[in-house]
Order: sequence, then structure tokens, then C-alpha cells
Amino acid sequence: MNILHQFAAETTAPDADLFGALGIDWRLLIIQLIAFLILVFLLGKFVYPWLMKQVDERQANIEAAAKAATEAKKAADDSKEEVAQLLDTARKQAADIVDTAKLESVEIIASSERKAKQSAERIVEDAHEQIDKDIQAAKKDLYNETLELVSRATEKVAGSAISAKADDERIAKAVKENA
Amino acid sequence: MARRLSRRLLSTYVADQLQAGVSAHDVMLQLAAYLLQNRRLNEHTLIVRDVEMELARRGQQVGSLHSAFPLSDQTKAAITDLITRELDAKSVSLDEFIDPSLVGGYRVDLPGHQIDQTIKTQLTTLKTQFRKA
Amino acid sequence: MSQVSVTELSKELRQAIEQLETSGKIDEVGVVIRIGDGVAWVHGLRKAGFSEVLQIETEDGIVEAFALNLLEDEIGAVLLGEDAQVKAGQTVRLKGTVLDVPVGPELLGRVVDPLGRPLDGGPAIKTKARGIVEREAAGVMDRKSVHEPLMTGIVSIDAMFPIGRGQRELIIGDRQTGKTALAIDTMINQAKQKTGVINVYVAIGQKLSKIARLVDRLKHEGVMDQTIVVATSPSDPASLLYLAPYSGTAMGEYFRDNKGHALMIYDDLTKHAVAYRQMSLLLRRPPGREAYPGDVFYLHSRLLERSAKLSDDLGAGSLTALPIIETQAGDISAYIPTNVISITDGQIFLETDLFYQGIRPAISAGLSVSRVGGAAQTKAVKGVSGNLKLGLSQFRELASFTQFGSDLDDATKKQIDRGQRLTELLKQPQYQPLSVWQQVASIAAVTGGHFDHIPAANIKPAQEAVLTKLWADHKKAMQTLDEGDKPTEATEKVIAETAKKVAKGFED
Repeated sequence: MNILHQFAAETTAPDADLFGALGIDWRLLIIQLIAFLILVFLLGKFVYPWLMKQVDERQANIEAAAKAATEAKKAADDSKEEVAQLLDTARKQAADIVDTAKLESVEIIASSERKAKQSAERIVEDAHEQIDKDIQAAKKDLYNETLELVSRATEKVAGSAISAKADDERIAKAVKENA
Repeated sequence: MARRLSRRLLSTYVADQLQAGVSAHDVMLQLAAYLLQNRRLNEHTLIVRDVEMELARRGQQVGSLHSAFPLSDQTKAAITDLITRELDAKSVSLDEFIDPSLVGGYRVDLPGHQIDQTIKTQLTTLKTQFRKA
Repeated sequence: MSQVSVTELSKELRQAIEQLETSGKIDEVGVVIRIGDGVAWVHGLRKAGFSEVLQIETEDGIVEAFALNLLEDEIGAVLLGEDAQVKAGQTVRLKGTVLDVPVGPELLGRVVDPLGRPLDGGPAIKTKARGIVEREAAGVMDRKSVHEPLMTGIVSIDAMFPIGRGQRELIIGDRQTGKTALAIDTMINQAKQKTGVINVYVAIGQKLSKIARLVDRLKHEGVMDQTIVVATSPSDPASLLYLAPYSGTAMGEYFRDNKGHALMIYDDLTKHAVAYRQMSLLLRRPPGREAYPGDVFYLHSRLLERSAKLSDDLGAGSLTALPIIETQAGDISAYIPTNVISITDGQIFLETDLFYQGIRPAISAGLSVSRVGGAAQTKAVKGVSGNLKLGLSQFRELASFTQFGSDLDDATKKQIDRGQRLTELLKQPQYQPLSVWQQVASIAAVTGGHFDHIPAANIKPAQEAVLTKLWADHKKAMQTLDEGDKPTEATEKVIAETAKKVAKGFED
């Protein structure tokens, strides 16, 4: 510093006419200029980039926040629409299910009625059939019994009614017929 | 081992021998010996039937006539004629049997053939075949 | 209701007496020399032919027999009735005919024995025609290839192993696996779908209680009017068990030869082979493998060859056969099963394991086959069955993995899920055969993936719901589909949409 002051003091006397008239010490000016340039350089190298970086980051965050806000809003709108749609579909399906269930119940009732009616008709038919069968069986037994009685009676009666002569004549006739 | 001779073959041999004039006694003795040797005595009735059938096939009909009452000679002759005609027989010999249980009519039993015109059979047929099952 | 009329009775008696005449001619006769175990040995009657009917005159009437062993010295005749009344020394005559049975539409709705005598307590059967029991099968030129389907109403069979009219398809499995149930469902389906096919059910050595239950069930389902039941019980003589399938076939052939279609069910041929073995051993025929006679293959081959599809010249009638064979412990490589498998045009194999797992009908998709296949399948079902078969075969391959529960990739899991749903779909309750449209809709719903989110336990209720809804809302389309042609795109769409809608109600 003393050197600078000394440099400055020494130099003032000879050049007093131009710069002196203006009140500017050109040596001090040069030093100040150099000091300023050094300052600018240092600021430019260390402070300015860091500062700019911070500013950029801040800017980016703000933009991101703004974007997210917009998207969130959009998503909310979409999901609202989707929910409305789902509710709609669910209502329709519920209606379908109820319809189907009603149809099935009607079908089941109709089918049970049909089956019950068929069952009743069949019981009556079976009963008629059984009676018919019983009558047929009785007729058959009567017929067979009568057949048996007829042949027994014939055996007994013919045994005493036929004479040897009549039998012989009958046989001769039969043999002749086969000739 | 000798082949087992069928009854048909044996009966053919016996019939051949009988028709050739060999005495029945000798043929039967030979047959009896064969049966004894081959342990086939239990087949003797069947062989007799086969011999009868073979002889019948050659025209010698031997059988039995069954009736409820004795038959006249004309009737018996008519029956014999019928058999001769129908079976192309050279000789017919029938043993007569009276069986009152036949009720009426007659029956002739021949080897492999039969005529049944008895009333008893007709009544049995009525009782059994016309039954409703 | 009929009354007992004395006039009618007396008329019948007079008729009987009038018919009582003797010819007086010389009849050829033989004599019974030995009788035992249902076989009568007869001496004489040298003109008797094979299988000719002999009449033995007993005290209780005539007992018929048929000549099976024609030896040099005697005839071995198998009795067709009880041997209690037959005694040695009784006279035997030739009837002059081979064995025949009454045939014709008069038999429909009746239960008869192999000789055509009624067993249902009804009136005696009087038919215009008689059919020979042992008849030769139709020749090569008299036949046409099988091309018409015989719908059984059982989804697994109609989709994967279709049966055609004129085909012989064997139903084989252990006892109590549902063999008769399959046959009954097929018969019921003929009535339900009004196909016009006549059913002839031949019960060979089946319990009388089982036959009675079956007849009741057929009456209940309204099938009895187009069914003939030929019944033999284990207490019947072996000769009747031997004749039963041949008699039944003669009855079925009447319809085949008269431009109709008939379905024969032989339940079961194992008992038939056993009865034939009994008869052959008693006739002193030499025993072969497992003591069966040497011609036991011929016994079944000549029976099943009579089932055929006739050519157009002969009326295009058909006789389809579903013989049933019972195996022991699932052994289909035993003597009789292998014989019949080689004769028939395919088999449906029922497994005990599947039955007890609840898969009924317990049809093994892997071992069953139909050699006629697609040629006899309705086009409608054919369209959807390809996916069904594929899905099931893929499932079978992966089935073992489900037991381990190991980590599986999505594709495998999907195949397994689909397979489980298909298996569930193929389960079918008894006496409920499905029509063509019902089968097509059910299969399409599952193979189209519409039921993929329904748990397997809900598949059957979902299927019912879909069918109900389709019938209610789209009856006309379903009726058209029922005719059998390939479904239109519109119909397929309708089915898919309905399935989707209904499926929502059954999801978890």
C-alpha cells in the first residue's frame, strides 16, 4: 500500500497539467482498473456460475411444480370420469343380473309345475295300467283253469264212452285219410 | 392209441353182419365183447337204438303199436301199409301193446319215427300248448 | 277298462279245441338220452341243422331247445326253458325252423325276454313279422359310410368323441363308473330331441331290480314309447343270456331294414361271454384262454357286424351299437376287453379315479377315441370342439404341476385355469342330456374366455344362467343353431355377449 501511495505521490507532480486539471490521478486509475478487472474475473469464475445455477434450479422447480399441478388436475378429472363410467356399468350389470335371476326363478317355477303335473298324470296312468294288467291276469288264469278242467273231463268221459269197435273204426278212417 | 369207434360205425357194422346172414347171437356176442373191452357197456342201449335205426334205414322197420283197445286185423294191416309206403320199408314188424290210459286212438313207435294219434296226447296238447303263458 | 267277458272266453276255448288236430303223418323223432345243466343230449334227429329249434314233449308241455352240438352219435341241444320238466326218454321233434323272434313296432314300449315273451305283465305280443336271431351281417356293397350324427346329449362325447349312426362305440370301465348311466342318457336324448331313433336296450344277466328301476326311469322321461327292453336276469338259463343280444339285434334290424334308425345297447357283453363260456364247457367244447371257448371273438364280432349304416338303395337305415364291457381294476388289456376293442369303432373309457374325484361322466379324454370322428359330428359342435380338445390336452400335460403349487409363469397358469374350467364344464348331472345349441353355447362361453374370471365352482350355475338367458332372449337364433349348421357370426356374437354379461354375476 505504501508503495502504491508512494507511486501515486511521485507521479502527481510532473503531469499536473491535463489529469491535474481534471483531478484524475492516472496511476491510481490504472490500479483501480486492474483491481476492478481482478474482481470481475473472480466474480465471473466463482460467484456468477454458482449464482446462475441456483437461479436455474429455482426456475426448474417452479416449472416442475406448475407442471405437476396441471397433471394432478387432469388425473383428477379423468378418474372422476372413470368412476362415473364404472358406476354406470355396475348399474347396468346389476340390472342384468336381476333380470337373469328373475328369468331363472320363473323358469324353475314353471319347470317344477310341469314336473308335478307330469308326475300326477303318470300316477293315474300307472294305476289304470295296473288295473288292466290285473284283469288280464285274471282272464288268463280263468282260461287256463277251464282248459285243464275240459281236458280232464274229456279224459274221464271219453274213457268210458268209447267202445273198442268205435275206436277201431275211427283209427281205420284216420289211417285211410293219410293214405 | 386206437380211434374211438362211434356208435354209428358200430351199428353199421352190426347191420352189415346181420344182413349178410351172420347169426344174431354171434354178432351180439362180438359187440358185447367189444363194449366190454373198451369199457363202453353203459352205451349198450344206445347202440341197440342205433342198430335199429340203421336197419330201419335199410328197410327193416321194427317197432311197437300202442292202442287203448285191441285193433282189428284190417286196421293193423292198414297201419303196416302206411308205414311201408311212407318209409319205403321192405319189412315191417310191430309189437302190440294195449294201454287203456291212451283213452283212444293209436301210436306207432319206430326207430327215429313216430305216429301219434292217441286221444291222450291231444288232451295233453290242449292242456299244455294252448295255455296262456 | 276291459271286462271279463264269458263269450270271449268261450270263443277262445272253442278256437283252441278246433285247432287241436293231428296230422297223422309219420314224424321224425328223437329221444332225450341225457339231461343236465341246461343241456339235453338227444339221440336221433339226424336231419337236424345247426341252431335249429327242437321241441321236447314234457308232461307240462313243450320245452324248446336249439341244437348247438351236432355230433355223429348225438345232438347237444341247449334248453330255452327250465330243465326241471325234461326227463330222459322224452320224445323230441324238429320244429322245422331256426330260432326266430317276433319283430316290429308292436314291441315298442314292452319288456320282453330273448324269445319275445312279455315280462311286463302286459298282453301277449302278436307281430306281423318274425326276425331270425342268427343272421348274417350286411355285405360291403350294401353299406354306406357313417355320416349322420347320433347325439348322445353328453357334452364330452358329442364334442370330443362323436358317435355316428351305424357306428359301434364301446363303453368300457370298472363296475359303478357310470356305464349304464351314459347309455340311459343317450336313450333319453333320442326322445328329448325327437330324433326318431328307436332304442333297444338288451340287459344281459342284469339284476331284475336294476332293470325295473331303469324301465321306471325311461317311463318317467317319456322314452319308453320308443324303446324295447330285452331282459335277462342272472337266474335265467345261460342259453337265454347267450341269445339276448342276438334277439335284440334282430328286433333292431327290423327298423334298420325298414328305412328307420335304431340304437342297440348291450349291457353288458362281459356277462354274455361268461354265459357262452358256461354253455360251451357244458357242451364239452375244448376250453381256451381263461377257459373261454376258441370262438369267443366270433361270438361278439358277428353280433357287432350287424350294426351298420345301409346304402341308399336299401333305404339308408342304420343300426348303431353301444356295447358295454366291465373291466376288473381298469385292466383294458384283458382277453374279452381287447377282443371287443378291436371289433368296435372306438371306445369311451370310464375311470374310477375320475368318478370319485367328482368328474361325472368319468370319461378319460386321453384313452377314449372315436374312429369315425368328425365325419359324424354336427357342424355346429365341430366348430367349438377343436378349442375344447386342445384346452383339455394342454391341461392334462400340465395337470401334475397343480399339485406342487410351484411358481408358474402366466401362460401356464392361464392354461391350467382354462383347463379346470373346461373340466368343470364337462361335468353333467344324470338324466339331463343337452341339445345341440346348449352344447355349442356352453363350450363357446368357456373356450371364448368369458368365464375366465369365474371360480371353477361357479361354472355350472353360470352355464345354466347363460342357457336360460339365451333361450329367453334369443330363442329363434338358438332354434336355428339347434338344427346343427355352423353358427353365423351374429349368433356367435350373441352368445359371447350374453356370456360376458352373465359372467359378471358369478365372479368373485
